[in-house]
Amino acid sequence: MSSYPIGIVARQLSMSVDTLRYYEKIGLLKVTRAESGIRLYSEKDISRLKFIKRAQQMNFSLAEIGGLLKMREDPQHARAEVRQLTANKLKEVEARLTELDTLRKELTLLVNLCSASDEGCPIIDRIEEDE
Amino acid sequence: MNTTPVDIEVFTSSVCSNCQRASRVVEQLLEEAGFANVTWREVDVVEEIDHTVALGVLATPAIAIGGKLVFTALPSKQQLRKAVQLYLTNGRSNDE
Repeated sequence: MSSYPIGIVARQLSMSVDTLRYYEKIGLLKVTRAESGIRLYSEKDISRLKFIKRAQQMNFSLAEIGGLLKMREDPQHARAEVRQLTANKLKEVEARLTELDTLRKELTLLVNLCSASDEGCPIIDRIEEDE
Repeated sequence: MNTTPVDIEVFTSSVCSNCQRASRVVEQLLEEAGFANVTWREVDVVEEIDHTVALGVLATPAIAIGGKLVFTALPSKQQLRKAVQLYLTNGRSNDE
């Protein structure tokens, strides 16, 4: 099984080395060490880090992310509060998706209106004038 | 925001060459076919963008019947007549 040093993982995930060390310090993941003492991240660790990154983009707190990681590790045996947290966060993600879908449709409409015009984008110009 | 229920909505924009034709097709059909109780209006997609997007309109012209998007391009009078008849028969619009 492949393992990667912290610098490679940080680059791959566009995270800082300090952030990766901090996540380990607060217990979001346990990283194995080589005999020389350097951290070696497994594919599973990288998967957890990608999950943390996605969850942070949803503005979940690190404490909440810790709960979600427990659920992710062993969903069948998660405690009731962790299950509840996961259900609540699912609702938040679904609400965000609805918002994003509406935004996608609005932008699609505006782009289509622009491409229907031969002279620049009068629709966008009009919106800017109104603001 | 329009609060009066309208049977047919024609979604238009100032840069759309077929929008006026879409409105004309609706107007002519309602006159010729005797759909006296069928109401319609033009919706400027920029002025009512929330309503437009909620119905799934992504380009103009588009036509909604009974609050549902039915045509995403200029329909023929025959296609429109069929859709309006279905709407009146079923009490709702049908997907094309």
